[in-house]
Amino acid sequence: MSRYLLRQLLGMIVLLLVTSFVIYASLFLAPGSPDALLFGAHTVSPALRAAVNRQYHLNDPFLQQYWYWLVNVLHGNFGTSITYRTPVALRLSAAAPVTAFLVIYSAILIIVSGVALGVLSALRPGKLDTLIMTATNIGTAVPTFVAGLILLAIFGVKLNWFPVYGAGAGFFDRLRHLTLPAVALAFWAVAYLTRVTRTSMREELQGDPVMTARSRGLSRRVVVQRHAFRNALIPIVTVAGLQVAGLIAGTVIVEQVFGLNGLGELLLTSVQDKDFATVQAVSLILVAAFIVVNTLVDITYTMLDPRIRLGANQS
Amino acid sequence: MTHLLEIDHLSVDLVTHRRYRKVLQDVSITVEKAEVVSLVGESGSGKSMTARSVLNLLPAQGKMSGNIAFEGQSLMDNTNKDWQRFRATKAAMIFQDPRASINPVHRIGDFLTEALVHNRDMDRHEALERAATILEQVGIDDAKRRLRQFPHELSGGMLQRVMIASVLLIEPQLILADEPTTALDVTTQADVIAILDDQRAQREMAMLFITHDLELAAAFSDRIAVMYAGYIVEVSTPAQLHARPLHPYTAALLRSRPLLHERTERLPQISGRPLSAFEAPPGCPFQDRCPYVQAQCSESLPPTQLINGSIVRCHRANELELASTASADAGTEGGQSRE
Ligand SMILES: Nc1ncnc2c1ncn2[C@@H]1O[C@H](COP(=O)(O)OP(=O)(O)O)[C@@H](O)[C@H]1O
Ligand code: SF4
Ligand SMILES: [Mg+2]
Repeated sequence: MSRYLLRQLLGMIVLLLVTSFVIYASLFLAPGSPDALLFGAHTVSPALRAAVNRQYHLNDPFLQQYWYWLVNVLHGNFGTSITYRTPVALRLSAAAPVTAFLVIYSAILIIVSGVALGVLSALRPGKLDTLIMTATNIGTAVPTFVAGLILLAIFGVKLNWFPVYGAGAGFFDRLRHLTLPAVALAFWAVAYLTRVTRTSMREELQGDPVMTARSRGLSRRVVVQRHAFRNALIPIVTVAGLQVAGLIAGTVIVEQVFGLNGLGELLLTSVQDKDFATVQAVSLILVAAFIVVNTLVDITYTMLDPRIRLGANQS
Repeated sequence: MTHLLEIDHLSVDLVTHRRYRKVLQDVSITVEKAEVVSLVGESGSGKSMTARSVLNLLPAQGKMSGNIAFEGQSLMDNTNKDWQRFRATKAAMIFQDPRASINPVHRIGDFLTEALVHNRDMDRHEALERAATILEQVGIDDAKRRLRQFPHELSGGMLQRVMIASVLLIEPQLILADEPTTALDVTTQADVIAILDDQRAQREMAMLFITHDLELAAAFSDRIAVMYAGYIVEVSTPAQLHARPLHPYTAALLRSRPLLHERTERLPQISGRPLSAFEAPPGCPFQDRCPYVQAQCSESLPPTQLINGSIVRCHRANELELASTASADAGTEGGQSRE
């Protein structure tokens, strides 16, 4: 078990290193000299130019440059934004909490309501099931940004229940500000996860292990929890994990719709501003978050299925 | 006299392709205390559905009519709670494929103890102790270690012993064994059957044993019921079946002798394929494959008759003299009419 965990974590670290290398190397692979890319059309003082040269170690061999950059990044030093003349880390520390809050809030919404609705639907065939399925049919057809605009129009503008702009300050104010964006982000995923949960619950309820459990006189509660739901969790976790990882990319759209100064927003403006250091830093963080979430999902998934966890060794 | 189990005029309808279809027709059979009754027949004849009816475990939307009684009490008006109590104490099923039926995500120990822990509020450690003892009785050594293993770590034969142990732990009066060795390696089949029958006999439990192998059934049953297309066509003792089968289908089964080490459920000596109840023509369900078919066979369903203590459902049971071996009636096209 712990050996398995170790292997997963090692794999993750290797993947993170490779990704960081690719992101760093993109500075050199992009057309034009790193110099031109870094400074673009900006006119910079010789002092800044020297500082950037130092930061990127542009005069050193490539691998050494990468190594310096990596060590800096690991110390939280992402260099200086040429456009804004401020440390990139400072801009990140303003944007990252907004995005993190949004992703976690949305992930909780997706997992809790998707699983609850799916289980309910599977256990109560009939009217409730039909209602939930109709709702998810609509839900899966609505793109995230459309959902965002509709929510904004109804609950933000018309009913005025939630703020329409900005991320708020302090936990509860932020919760209020990020509710509509989180719901918009979760909308499609909840609908999809509900369907996946319903299907896999149904399958398990019809399956052999459930029949065996019922034949032993176990109560419905035990049969549903210990057998149907427990077994259905394996596909549910896989899909939920992919969705949460997908949220990280989804924030870029939602932050635009709701005017949130998160990482997605920062990424877009930095690209427009040709602010290379910031683009690099944000890409690195988003991709790293994606990899970490995926690894967590892999670990959870294998913990749920002993056949994978222990390998198929017969005795 | 009250029987341990009495199935009386049981009919079952299941939904396939959104339509109800008959899979059991007028099935009547009894099992006495500590008795072994085998249900024998080709695939699709309704053996599994008969056993599952006893526990009210039909597929979704399945309907049964007729009567099933246990110790003289009808089960037909049981509530869900009644069924739970019945399954938890009176009758338990051994399923055909342990690899599919035992939940792969729980440890062997959890599988064996969950009924004791959840239904009888037994302490988990005590339940595990008991499970270990029974595992040893069904021929699994190193029981303590096995309890911590997962199903995929055990061979098919081992898993079926675990399944048997789980039934013994419930201490039911009736075991429903649905082809308990069909999914197993041929080398372990005989062992598993021997252990099952031995442990059952020691505890004086009755058993409804399902197999497609008449030879196997004859080896240790008190009585054998032969099923065809959802009907029971003959009920007899092994000795009587061998001496003088009454139904042409039984005779054909005896002559084709599917061997223990063969998995095939087809009978090479009878032409045509086995039917399900809903496919059977009006009249005798066996008429399309029967060498003795006459006009009356397609006109009316043969009633059950009692002949020399055996029950048979054939219009011509009284007049036919059937043999159980191919050589005995060689050259006479499988039998003779008394005329
Ligand atoms: N889940 C199901 N839904 C509908 N029909 C079924 C189902 N399982 C079995 N049947 C049908 O019921 C009939 C009897 O099946 P079964 O009792 O499993 O036969 P046996 O155990 O003798 O092979 C067959 O015609 C089969 O096609
Ligand atoms: S009733 Fe007729 S068709 Fe059916 S088994 Fe008897 S002889 Fe054959
Ligand atoms: Mg069967």
